[in-house]
Amino acid sequence: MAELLRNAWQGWFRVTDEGKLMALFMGSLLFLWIGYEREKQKQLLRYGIMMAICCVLPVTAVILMLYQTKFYDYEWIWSAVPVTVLTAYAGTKILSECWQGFRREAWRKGLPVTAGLLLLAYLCSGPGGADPDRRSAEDRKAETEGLLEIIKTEEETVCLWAPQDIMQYVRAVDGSVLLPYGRDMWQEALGAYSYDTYPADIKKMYRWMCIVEEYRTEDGIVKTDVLREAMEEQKLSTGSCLDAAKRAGVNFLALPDDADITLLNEVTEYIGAEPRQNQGYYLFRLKE
Amino acid sequence: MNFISALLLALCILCLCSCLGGGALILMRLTGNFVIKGRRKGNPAHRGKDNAERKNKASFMRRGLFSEGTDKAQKLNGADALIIGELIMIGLAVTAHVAAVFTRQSFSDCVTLFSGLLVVLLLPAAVLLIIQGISHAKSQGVFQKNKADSSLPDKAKRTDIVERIFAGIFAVLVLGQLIFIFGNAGVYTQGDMTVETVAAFLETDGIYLVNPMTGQAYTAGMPSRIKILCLPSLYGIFCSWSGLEPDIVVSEAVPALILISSYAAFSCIGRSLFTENRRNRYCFLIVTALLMWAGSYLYGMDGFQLLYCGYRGVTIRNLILIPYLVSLCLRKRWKSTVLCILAEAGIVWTFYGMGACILTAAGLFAAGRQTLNDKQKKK
Repeated sequence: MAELLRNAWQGWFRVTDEGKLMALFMGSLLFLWIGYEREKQKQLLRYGIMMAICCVLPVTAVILMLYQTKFYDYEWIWSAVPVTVLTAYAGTKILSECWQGFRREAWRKGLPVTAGLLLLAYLCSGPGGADPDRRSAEDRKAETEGLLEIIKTEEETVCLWAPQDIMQYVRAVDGSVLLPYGRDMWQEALGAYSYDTYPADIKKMYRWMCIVEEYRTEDGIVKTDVLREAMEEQKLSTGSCLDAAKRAGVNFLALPDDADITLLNEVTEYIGAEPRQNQGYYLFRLKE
Repeated sequence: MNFISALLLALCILCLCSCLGGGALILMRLTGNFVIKGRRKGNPAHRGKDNAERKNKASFMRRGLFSEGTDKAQKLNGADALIIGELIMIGLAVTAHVAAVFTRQSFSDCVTLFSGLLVVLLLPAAVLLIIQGISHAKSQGVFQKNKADSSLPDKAKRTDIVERIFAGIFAVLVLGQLIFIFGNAGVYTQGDMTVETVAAFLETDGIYLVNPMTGQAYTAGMPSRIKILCLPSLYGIFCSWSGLEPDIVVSEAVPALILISSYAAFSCIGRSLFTENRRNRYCFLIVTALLMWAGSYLYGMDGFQLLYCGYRGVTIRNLILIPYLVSLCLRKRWKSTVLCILAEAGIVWTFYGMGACILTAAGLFAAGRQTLNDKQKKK
């Protein structure tokens, strides 16, 4: 219960911190409430205010979160509040009053108010906040497609083990490609869609790949020592992870071409075949 | 060129839904008239009575699925037809999906069942629409030249210049959002696996035969409450029909469809809020569209859902079902809200709870009763 209360409390700040659209909504409620006696839509306003209060107050917010059975985050309890409807309703009423029923003659009052409201909406929106990583997502998807195209020419049944950037798009791009683990390994929320859990070996493979990705060669700086330390700390060895991959049915391994050179040599030696370099990755073929 | 195919698919589905919903509305009207006539015949005591007081009391509760509505605000219109069509489509998808899951049929059987059910409903809907169209045209005098000429000025009067400007601004905003959806490959996929699920259905020709995340067989299975959600099957069906990739259907065609449907739902609310003022209705839609742009900054906000993850069940719930349900409640069509509540159960994982639609309907009902009581006390 304490955790739920904390979530409800932090959730409200999360919703109001990044952008101020909620403040605009609260302002709209206040505006509508002031004219409550003349208000024609008392039912909607009464409901909106009650639900908004329930979502803001931590105790009632917790009850609502329990109602949605804890799976969804705090944000989703606001689903039951007609935020957009009431904000748009208030906006329309203000504009309609200032423009005196949208008559051209009322532009002296209407135009500044319209401009002011537009500015307010812009300032409340937290401009530029959404999805800054869009371009790179597109690129990574294209990379994945390119890599899969090459792999599919070699083998019909493909089970690919690759860095996270590739793994997260593989199943969306091609449903026939199998993976030893999917996005649910690093996106916890996805775990709720299945009762399956990953065996220790597969988790080990994931950790190994994370380390490989983290300690890449950057600007000519080789990080072999830190990489070794990290592996030892997590009790991982390249050989055991590659064996686990073979047991899991993996037949293709992709490693970034800027991965640590010593590690790449180790993998090449263990597999016993030279990799092919393509799309910024070294592609190894694992044999039974 | 993918976006053209996606746009065409979205338009085709819109047409199908409108046709289905239009047929359903005509059927509701006919059945409603029949029920009302039957009631009047069966209860002669009501014939000569002054109904005003009785109507007032009853109107809060009795406006149901099969009644037409006495005033302009309560009537169902084109936007209602589209959304009711979509609700029917969701109903059909749930039927086909659940049938396929529990009888362990293949996905192609599910597609066949859905398509069959759709055709069975579409044919009578199309016939009803044609009959309605002909009778409407006759009553408007379209077939008689003189009458047609005289009806023109009435129509022209209805749309003044301000309304046209507003309609233009709204169209530009919506068009901008459509372009954004079609041009934006960065769909928000965190915590969602719809594309992978659809791809797995198509690849294995089965429903949840493999874990969509890995393509490997399930070891411990999945929750039944998730298994019965029909959206992946519905999107898979769209893929089968169109031959498009799951990625295109899920991240472009469906969000475009949802965007348009969402504004249809908001237009229903606008109609309920500003019954007599068309300018205000257009302004309401413009402000709504602007708020969608403004709200695209944070996960969970309406704008973000509409522009970045329009395919998700929660988006359909928050931007179509709930606004539509609010409009139904404002029109006092309480019984019709059941459609939205059922649709939510079919598309959103409410876990073992009852969902947001029922909460909204109950809240609006209670608020409505309270407002009515206040009015009566004042009188």
